[in-house]
Amino acid sequence: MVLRLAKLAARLIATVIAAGLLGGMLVRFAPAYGVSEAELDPRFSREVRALGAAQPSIWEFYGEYARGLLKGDLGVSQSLQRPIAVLLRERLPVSLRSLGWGSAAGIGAGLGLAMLVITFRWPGIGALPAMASTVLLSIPSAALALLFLVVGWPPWLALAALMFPRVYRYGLAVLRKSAAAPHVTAARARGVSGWRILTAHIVPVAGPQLWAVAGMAISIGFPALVPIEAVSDSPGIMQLALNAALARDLPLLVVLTTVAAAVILLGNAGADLSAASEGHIE
Amino acid sequence: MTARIAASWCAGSVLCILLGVGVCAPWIAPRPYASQDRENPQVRPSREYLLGTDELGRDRFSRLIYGTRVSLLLAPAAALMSVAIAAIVGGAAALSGRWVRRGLIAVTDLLLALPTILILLTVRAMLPLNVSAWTSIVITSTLLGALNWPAAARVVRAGTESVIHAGFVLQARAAGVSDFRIYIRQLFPNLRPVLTAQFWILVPAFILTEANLSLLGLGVSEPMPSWGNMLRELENYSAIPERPWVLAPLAVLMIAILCLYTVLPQREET
Repeated sequence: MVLRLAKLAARLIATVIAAGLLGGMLVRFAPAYGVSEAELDPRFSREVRALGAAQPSIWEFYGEYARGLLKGDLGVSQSLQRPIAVLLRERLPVSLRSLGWGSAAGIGAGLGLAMLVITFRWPGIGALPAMASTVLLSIPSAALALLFLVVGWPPWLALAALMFPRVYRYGLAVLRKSAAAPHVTAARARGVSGWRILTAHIVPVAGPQLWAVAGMAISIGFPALVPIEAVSDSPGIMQLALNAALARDLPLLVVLTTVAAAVILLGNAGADLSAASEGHIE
Repeated sequence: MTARIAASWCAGSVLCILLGVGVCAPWIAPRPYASQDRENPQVRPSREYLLGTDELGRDRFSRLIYGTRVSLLLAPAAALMSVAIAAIVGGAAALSGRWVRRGLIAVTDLLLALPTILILLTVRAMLPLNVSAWTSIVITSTLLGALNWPAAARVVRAGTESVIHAGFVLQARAAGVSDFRIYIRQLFPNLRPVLTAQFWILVPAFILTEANLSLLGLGVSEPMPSWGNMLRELENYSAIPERPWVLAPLAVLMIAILCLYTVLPQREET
């Protein structure tokens, strides 16, 4: 188990480093890297790009970045002229708070409703959540954030609304599978109450897969914060990432891509571990 | 079951109508999408302008029709590209030797770990600002297709591995048929349902991603309309209660996505 965890951790770290490098490479080799927004004259752009060629290569940049990282220095943002560590310290809690509240509300609503649908098998009980989940799935996250802004609701609620349909559908499928087991049918035939069946027979069997929802929610929710924070002007790191992309700020983008990849990977690893603990995956 | 089939047919018909409207946009739209009536900006819906005009005096209804064409053609093109890459990478990962297989799986995992929307925004923001509208469509579509194949590749790899030990594949191998030929002639026909399902899953996802990108100003460039960049009018959200017709692109987008989700389960089962 320890060896397996160590292997997983090593793979995660390697992937995070590679993700940061890949993100940096995409930025560094993009056609307009080093071109100012004001310089739309192609001849001028060529000159500026020629100057840009004198800038350190991605490998030099990444080597310097890695050396700084070992000393606890994340570098300085080119566009904001502030240390990236300070920017992260200021903005990461905002994003994590949104992610926490949004995930809790989205997972709570999704799994709660899925459990209600499974427990009370009244005809038509699942129609409203199913309809709500389908409608929410069909709205772009940025538009959803905008609509929530119009009614004055916080950004994390938009994230919850974005997560709800995915969690509800997945949770319902997992619970339905558990509810179809022969021992559940036998318990129902003996007149055991719906809540008792849910808590004693359905949830314990589906538990690890339901835990995996939390990991899944993080890997879905964190990237979705980009349009949500941008539209609702929430000062989190994803809004910072969009601003960094627009300002073509390579050092900041590399750090933010690495942080985002780390969060997503941790979410995926959590989901994998939950599923693996029950032998669903190797 | 009958109701579901009926709903699926209904949704399919709506999608066909939307696609038809999009393809025939130049003949159906009352005005060109870029034509401006400077005398009449932000007018209310009327017989002349069915959905009113935007702040530049452009007919919103005509732009919605042209936008339908862009959004409904861009997403399937990108999905086709993603599925093609997934078929190549997933197939190669399943058929190759240990190291190539491990390498391809590592690349797939790496791309799955990247926040795609952030990479899309970054790369799109890095492109020259004076790209033409058509170039922006091609770039957006290519980026969507090139960055979103890993999940589909995983499914294709699993699908390939599930049939790789079937009798007919072993017989083909015993007869000395190359891996490439086995993949194309024996495995690919068996993977077609998997690839079709992946295609139909990716289309609505790409429509939504394009809408998000365009809403943030990094999707399809003006003056070419798409559902996403028409939604930018919603940024002036205080005016929505006075001008609810600006929600028309969102309504059409939602109808298209709902129809795609209704058609999707039927496709997945076949």
